[in-house]
Amino acid sequence: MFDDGEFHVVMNDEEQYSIWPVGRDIPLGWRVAGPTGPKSECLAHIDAAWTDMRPRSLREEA
Amino acid sequence: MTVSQEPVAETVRLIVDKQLNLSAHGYEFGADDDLWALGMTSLTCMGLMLAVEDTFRIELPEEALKEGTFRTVGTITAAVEAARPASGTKV
Amino acid sequence: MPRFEPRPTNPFPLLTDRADGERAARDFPLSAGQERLWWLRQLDSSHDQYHITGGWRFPAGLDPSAIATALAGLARRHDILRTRFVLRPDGTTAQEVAAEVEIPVVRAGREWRAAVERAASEPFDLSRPPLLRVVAAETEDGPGLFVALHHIVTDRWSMDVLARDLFELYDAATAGRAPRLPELAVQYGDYARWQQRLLDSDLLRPGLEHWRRTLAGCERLELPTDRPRTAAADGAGASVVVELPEEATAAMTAVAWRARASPGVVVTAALVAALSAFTGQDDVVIGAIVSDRPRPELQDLIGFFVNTVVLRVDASGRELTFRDVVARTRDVWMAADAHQDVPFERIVGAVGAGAEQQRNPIFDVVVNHAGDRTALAEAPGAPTWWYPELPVTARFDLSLTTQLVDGRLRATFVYRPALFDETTIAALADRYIRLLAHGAAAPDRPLHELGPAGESGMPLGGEDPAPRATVVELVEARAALHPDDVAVTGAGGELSYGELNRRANRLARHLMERGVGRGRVVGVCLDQTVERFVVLLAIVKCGAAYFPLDPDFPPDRLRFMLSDAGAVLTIVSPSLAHRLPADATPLLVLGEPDLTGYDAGNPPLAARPGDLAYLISTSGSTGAPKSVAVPHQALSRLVAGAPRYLDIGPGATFLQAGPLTFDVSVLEWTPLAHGGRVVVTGTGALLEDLEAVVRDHGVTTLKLVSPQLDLLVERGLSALSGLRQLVVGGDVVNPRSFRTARELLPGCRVTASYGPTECTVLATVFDGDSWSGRVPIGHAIPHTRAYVLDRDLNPAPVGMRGEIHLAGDGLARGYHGRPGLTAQAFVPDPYGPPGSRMYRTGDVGRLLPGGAIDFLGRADRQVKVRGYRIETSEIEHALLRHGATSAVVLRAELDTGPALVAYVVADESVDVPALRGRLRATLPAYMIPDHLVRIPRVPLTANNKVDRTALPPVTPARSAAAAPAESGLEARVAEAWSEVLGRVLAAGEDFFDHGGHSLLVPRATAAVRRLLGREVPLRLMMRHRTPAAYAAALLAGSLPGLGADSRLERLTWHSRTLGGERRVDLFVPAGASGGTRLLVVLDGSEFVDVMRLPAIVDRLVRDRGVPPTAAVFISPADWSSRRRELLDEAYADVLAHELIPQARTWLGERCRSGRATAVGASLGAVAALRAALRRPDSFEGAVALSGPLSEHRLGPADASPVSPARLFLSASREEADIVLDDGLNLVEAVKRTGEELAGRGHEVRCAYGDGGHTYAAWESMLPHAISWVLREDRARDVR
Repeated sequence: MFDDGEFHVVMNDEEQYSIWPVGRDIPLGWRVAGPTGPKSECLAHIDAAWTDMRPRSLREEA
Repeated sequence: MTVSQEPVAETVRLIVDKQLNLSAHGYEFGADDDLWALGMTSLTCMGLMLAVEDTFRIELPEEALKEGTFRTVGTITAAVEAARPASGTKV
Repeated sequence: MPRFEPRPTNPFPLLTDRADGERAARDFPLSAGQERLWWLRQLDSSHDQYHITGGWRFPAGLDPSAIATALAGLARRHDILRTRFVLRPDGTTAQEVAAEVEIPVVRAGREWRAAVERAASEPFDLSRPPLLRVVAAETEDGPGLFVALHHIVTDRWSMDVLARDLFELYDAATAGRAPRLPELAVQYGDYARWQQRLLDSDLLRPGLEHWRRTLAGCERLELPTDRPRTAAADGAGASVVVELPEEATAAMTAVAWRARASPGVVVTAALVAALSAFTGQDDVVIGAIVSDRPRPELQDLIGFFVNTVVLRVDASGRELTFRDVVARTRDVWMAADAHQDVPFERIVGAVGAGAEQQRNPIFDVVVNHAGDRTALAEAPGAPTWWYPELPVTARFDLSLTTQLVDGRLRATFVYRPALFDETTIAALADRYIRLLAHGAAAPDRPLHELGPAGESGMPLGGEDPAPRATVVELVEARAALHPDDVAVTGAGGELSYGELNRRANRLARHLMERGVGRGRVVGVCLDQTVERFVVLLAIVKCGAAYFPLDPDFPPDRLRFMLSDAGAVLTIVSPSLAHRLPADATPLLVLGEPDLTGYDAGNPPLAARPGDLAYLISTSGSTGAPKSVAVPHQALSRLVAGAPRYLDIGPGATFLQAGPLTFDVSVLEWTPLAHGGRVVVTGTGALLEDLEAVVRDHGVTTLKLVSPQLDLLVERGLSALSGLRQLVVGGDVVNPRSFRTARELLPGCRVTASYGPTECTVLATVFDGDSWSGRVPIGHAIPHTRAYVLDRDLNPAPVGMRGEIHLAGDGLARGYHGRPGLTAQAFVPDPYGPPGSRMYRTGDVGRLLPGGAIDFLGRADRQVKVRGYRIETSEIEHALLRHGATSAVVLRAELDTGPALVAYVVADESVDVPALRGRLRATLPAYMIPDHLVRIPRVPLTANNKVDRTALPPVTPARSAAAAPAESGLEARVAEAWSEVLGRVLAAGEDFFDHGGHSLLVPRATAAVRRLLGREVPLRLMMRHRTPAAYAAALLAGSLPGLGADSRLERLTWHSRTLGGERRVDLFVPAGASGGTRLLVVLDGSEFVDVMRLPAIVDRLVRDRGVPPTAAVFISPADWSSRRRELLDEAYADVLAHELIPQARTWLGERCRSGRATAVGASLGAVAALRAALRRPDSFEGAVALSGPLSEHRLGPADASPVSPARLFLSASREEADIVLDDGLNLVEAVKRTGEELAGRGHEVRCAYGDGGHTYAAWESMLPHAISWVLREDRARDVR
């Protein structure tokens, strides 16, 4: 499932990024948050966008 | 093969002969000879169906989709004629 | 719409040449299908899986004489029932029809069960017709008749014909009338001959091309088995039956028509989809059984009219619908149907699929759709089908037979219980039938919507809320409650909880002054002393994360890692300080700062559950650094749940024998959090100090990785007898070691564990009592979820393989500083709470009944070699079972192509090369490693995985393929096989990899038989598939047979004149002295290896038949130059000038300086005679066996006076069939030459024996020849 095809960039409430294959229902708690396309494109976006890998709730506690 | 020029039955006959390799095997067959008895199998029947639909550019309707339709050259011809648009001759 | 080529017509006439009423015996070739069955019978004569049975009840009674008449009539009507199958000497098979054959009936009466079973299972002798057994039984429901036939004479359609004919004959017999049966225009033999003409013609070439193209690059479909395959044959089978209800069956038929497919295609399509899910492979290759009676004349015959075809269907595509699979399957079916005339063996040969004794060369799964043509006569009182219960036989690993019964589709899965548990096949069958129903109901929905099956058993690991207390709080709590309990002990003393906590507090305050705080990373490079925990605890008290470094890494690497992690400081033990680069981060050398001034009380809690606790690097010493960042909550969850499966509470003493850089060391927090004790000390690289440590510190709980357990099992486990718990983790736990540990440590809880660093040390544990084959990795630990998901991310049903995914509170935050890498490894969890993630391990596993997970290997550790997909861990396990301590098996790309290489760690007493022989007994041939390399230990990366880059490369000694034949026998076998193959085969090349197939084996073996002159079993070729191996096997039984003081030596000789390195054997008899005579034997290797001439001479010398005689056996440098060399006119001179003096040097003063006698056979006979005739200065005689003597000029060109020689010439009487260039046959040539030479004054003896142009014939002639030519009592002078 994760080897080929197209993916969405997705994000959860903790602002953690991931990818999800196109055509499957996106699991609860996640929403599209970036481009849709080949895996490399999605990951490149994530590499640029996900600068602080701490979960949001942790950042807000600080 | 120009579909419109030849009578349907003749075309059907040619298709059947080619798909089932009949005259090559030395068989004579008439419009009412049982093709199953002449060695048609469910696989070759499928091939026949595909060839017939392809040649006549038709899609056989639901009620024609049964073994009986392909029993003889005659029954196939009838099904084809029933499925063709009424007026079309030249394509 | 694709156009399909129709099946080519057999243009030859289908006729019989049987005159009316004539029942003369005649013979025919076998049909292609029959040949296959005949061959399978040769391979295994102990049990035969190819019997067909049928039975009928006769409610109206069974009249014995009428049935006898009927059976006789049946035999008269169908020639096939009177047929025997034979192997001709030239290696071809034939079927011969006998004029009359009696069909005996076993009258079993009430005790019929044993008779029926015997009839059904006793192997048939295919050369003794009838291949039909009949049992008359008295069942509870009246008389019954049971028949068993060998498949080579029947098939399912034939059984209907048999029934119809038999009943009509029976009826006619009872009614006293003539039977009314349709005329049989031809018989089976005629069909076989008709088919043979087609096969011999060129018409099937396009068909063969089609198969070659279609099957190019295809891989075997590998079913995940419950037990490893063994080399043993086992025909035992079991079955699982599932049915589709009437409504669904009707829907399926409708879908079939609508998709322009037949029910058989649909049923196959469903199997393709189910197998694709079951195996995780998209490229599905299965076999299909096709009933084939291409002409009406054949429809009333009993006989074997079945073809085997290969179906290769592409099941790839995320959104694949049932209709898609059906369409693809239909296209494949139609093409296969059109090309089914190409015999299966030829397809196998064309794709080079090789031959595996117990497995079909291309597929393990077969589908067989029967129609519903089983209508027996409907008349009242007519016989009805009777199915007595019989043991099931499996012809393939898995076969699916489908049938329509009363409007319902019945699917019967027959499988090998040796490989599969019933639950596994039941799960597959269940998935199959649901897929079929779902596909029939909704053919245009993607298949992945099928969803999980009932029993998918998602294992969940406990639903208690995630624990929030960090290890800091837990240790501080312990320190407050029990400050004097020992926390850490080991090298450097011991620390109580109180002391540990106080020291950590002081250090923490110092660190905070230096900028260490929440969100920071501190590198640590510490030795194994108790101080270690002071440092780690101090760091986490600051809210920072510690990052262990391997002191053995190059400083540049460490600098890179520290900078990549953004470390602000590195704490180092004094002894390791020099290993660290000074300029990477500020260094704090333990012990240097004076911490006495700092407050020893707990600082304010800094670390939140989401803050990182530590980083562990998983990328080894090369490659981009990749560190797993683990937050406190993951660590807390490990620690909180630990007491449920680890013995680490108060009173426990825990030891893990690995460095800080392995995440296993994180387990040390668990006893600290629960009041137990941790031992921190070195145990030696090979655990040599472990015993002492365990003893001295009273270790109760020990954690090892699998290779370490193997090491200890080797050494003996007595040191561990006091343990309360032993936990073994790592990649694959060696089942043998695990079982041994369980047996030898009865008071100890032996647990297997599994967990990647990304899931914080542990994910699953196994404590169970039983397992078969592999040790399972067990169930998820608390606060952890483990899923086995198929390619569509659906939970895989029990038994089906999938990828292991881990979820829950134990997941790491990700890879430090690597968002993209993290995102693709940690993906949304569709089965967990909203927004949760799961980690894709890349490990393959499956669920066992009961919910434990069975680890099947890394997805990347299945390698493809020789067309098979191989689980390397299976080979590793086999090596371990046979005595290796550890093993790693890889696929390597060598110059000679891909190869399986096994690296083995073993005790000195283990003979590593011999392991291959032992593996042959347990593993199928394709799994035997090509190379076995011994290594001192298995190199591991920082992540406890095998470091493949550190394994020594393999350089094969020489390219096997190009290697010239090492002996004459090898070369001749290669020649014989090349001829059968129709292409050149080198001595090191595998017959089956180069176009050979099983049906050529009889011919190839016949050729060798002709060579040797003795029987050779057909099976030998299946195990020794290269000419070199085969020749060695042929010789294996024969000993040199020399007496005690005789000597046989092998040398390599480089001849100046002839060039090339060649093999030379030297024979020196016992008691050799100065007066020893000398034989010069050409084609030496064959005379030594096959004809055992040294032993013959040795015996003759001992029996004093001849004077002491030594021999030098000279072989050609390579086979291709043999002919040229032997026939070269100057060869005799080389022998005289170079070889004989050299031989005397080798033999020393034991060889008198007299003349030698030359010995040769075939072409060698010519050379031997020439030596004697042209070089009488060096040769006094010759032995010339079966030489084409009239074809070559033997004597010298000039008319020099004849120096009489002693010449022995011989031929076999059968060699009169060999006609030479000049028109004489070989026997005549020998005779004439003998007469001529005698006429010239030589002393000549001609002898004629039996056995043809074979080694055996020459071997039997040699004693006579040698004793005659060497005997003492001859006059030296010319007569």
